[in-house]
Amino acid sequence: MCPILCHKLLLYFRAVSALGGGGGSIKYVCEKIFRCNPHCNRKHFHNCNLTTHFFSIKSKVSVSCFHLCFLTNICWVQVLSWRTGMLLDSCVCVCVCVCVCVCVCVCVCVCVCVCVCVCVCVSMVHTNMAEPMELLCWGGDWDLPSVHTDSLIVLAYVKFSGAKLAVKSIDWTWRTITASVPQLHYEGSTVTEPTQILNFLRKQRFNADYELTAKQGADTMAYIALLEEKLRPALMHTFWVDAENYANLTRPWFTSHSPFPLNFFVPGRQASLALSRILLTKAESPLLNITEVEGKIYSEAKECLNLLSHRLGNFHFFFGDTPTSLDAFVFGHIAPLIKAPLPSGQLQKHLNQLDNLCQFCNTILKNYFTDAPAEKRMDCSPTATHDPVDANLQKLTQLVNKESNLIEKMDDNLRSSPQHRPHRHETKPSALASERISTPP
Amino acid sequence: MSLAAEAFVSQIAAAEPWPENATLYQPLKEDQILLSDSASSLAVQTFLRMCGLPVLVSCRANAEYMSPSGKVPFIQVGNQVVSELGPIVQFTKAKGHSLSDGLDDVQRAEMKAYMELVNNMLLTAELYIQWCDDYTATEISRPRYSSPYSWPLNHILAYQKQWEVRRKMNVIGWSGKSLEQVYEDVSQCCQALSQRLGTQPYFFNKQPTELDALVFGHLFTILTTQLTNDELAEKVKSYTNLLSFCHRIEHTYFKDRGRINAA
Repeated sequence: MCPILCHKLLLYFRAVSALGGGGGSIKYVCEKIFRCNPHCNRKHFHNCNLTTHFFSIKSKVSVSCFHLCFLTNICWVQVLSWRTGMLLDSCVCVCVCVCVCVCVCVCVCVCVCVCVCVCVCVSMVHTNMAEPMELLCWGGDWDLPSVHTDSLIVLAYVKFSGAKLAVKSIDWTWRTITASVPQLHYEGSTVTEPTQILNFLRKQRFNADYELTAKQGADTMAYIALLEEKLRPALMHTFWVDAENYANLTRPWFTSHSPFPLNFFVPGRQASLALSRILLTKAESPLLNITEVEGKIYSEAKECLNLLSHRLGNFHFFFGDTPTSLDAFVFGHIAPLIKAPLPSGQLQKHLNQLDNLCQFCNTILKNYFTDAPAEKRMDCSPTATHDPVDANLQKLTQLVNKESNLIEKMDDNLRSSPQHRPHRHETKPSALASERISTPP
Repeated sequence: MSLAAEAFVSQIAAAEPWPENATLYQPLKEDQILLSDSASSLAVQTFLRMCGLPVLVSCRANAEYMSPSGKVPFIQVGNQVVSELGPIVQFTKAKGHSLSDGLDDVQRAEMKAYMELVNNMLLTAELYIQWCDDYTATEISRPRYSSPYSWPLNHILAYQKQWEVRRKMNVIGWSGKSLEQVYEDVSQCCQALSQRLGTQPYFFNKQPTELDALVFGHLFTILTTQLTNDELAEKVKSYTNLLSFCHRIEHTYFKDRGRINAA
């Protein structure tokens, strides 16, 4: 070995060993180096000897430090891979092995730094590759993609806006009790609550409200507030508080879709949350009994449904011929009510009498949530004045689609790793494929 | 109340005309009333003035406990007591006075939707700022709310009210919001109202409705109430058509009583 390199290595080891530990191994390494290289400067050797002698007192400590750091590195790599959603794939394994070998020869601190750098680089590379958004929501039943109102709202908006994301069901996982659903994961950040998720998707250029005027946007906000205040308490009561429905439909469904032992807790928790929400927001202080509040909330809900029906009239969607976020919200609220086989549903009976709302719900299900590559657009006469806007929007949409195709391919490669359960939402690929053909006007 | 009781009350209400001595009760204006209660009270007063119905305003320290639903304001008309704007509108309709008769179904749906928007966003934001923001709660809300009471009752009642409001915020998902997000929500709500109003004099063109009364009540109170900082008022002031809307209604319906003294 070249004497200059040797000298540099010595200085390096000395500096590094000053941080502590590893004295014994350094001494061994130094001796090895100098036996190979008799031309090395005696002075340097002497200095090194002093340093290593000083630190060899701590050699026993250094060995245990080495073991500790080795274990820490393994744990760190595991934690990082869990957090970033990857599993220990081959390159990370190789890196770990290399680090272990390096550990034997070099100071422990160096190996820690190397491991950290390697893991961060690997995770960054993987994160940059793992672009697609991921949505967590409850599973589907009764011809619906999801039985949960908020999840349905987000799923419907995703279909309307043409967003590409992977839908993951939380059924039979521990997320039924840990996660607040729906949840959108993208590049490490998490977004919950339907309104926040919709805002986020709009910022990512997936906007179904592109064509609304300012007044229509204001109307959207107002109607969403109406739904939340008037309809949601009654929906929650129908599914979670009404004894017959809860015992015969809701609780068995959620119990069968939660893993053991959570199936004992999840339905009860949701039910108590629903009850407390109804009581706190709707029950005024003398009416602390739920039965007295029932009459009020059901009459308000029926009025709300009537108002929605009046507003919808004979149109296919609330604002003309293309669906917007308001349509997503209304769909999310009324679809479970229409489709669920409720034993006692006075609200369901009332809703079934409002034909245009039932028609609205079925239209959306047929056009956006089945595999049929049928024509998506309702028959509308395209107005000539919108053509320039159409052309630009078409180009933009095509660009977005191309980008997301690439991302999807990368996603496929990533997800073909055996640890991932192939749990893609059935309707996603074909529905999205047919969605690409039809662009919003 | 249950549907049957409501129908019964409407029947009785329809029997008599509006008396001269109808009274509106609210907490003490100078010392006790808070932003949200003041806004609701002003909304009811505006509505009754728009209907042309006379009402006397009476301030009581225990108005909240006198109210049948626990919320202020409430009105006493003859031998009936009705609280909150929604039931009061129905009550006056049973007596034959209504502002929204001229609206068709779609417009009525819109009106109700916008009233819910104001209740959902503005009122909740006001409650949040008063009770969930620690600084405002300590400096303004708790001292004012409990001012008529002596120690230790004032502490107990103030904390009890705060706890109640915080529980409600928790349940509707507002407890996770920061103050900036709440201001942002208020701004969005005002933007929606501003866009709906446009350049019209009232929300449904020529005639004022209960929506106008409600919006005026909230916006005017926000503009004229002194809080720990002016950010809420600034958010509202940035929409000029809402400002002119408030001026117009104040000028039209409150000019005979001079400027309204908001708390």
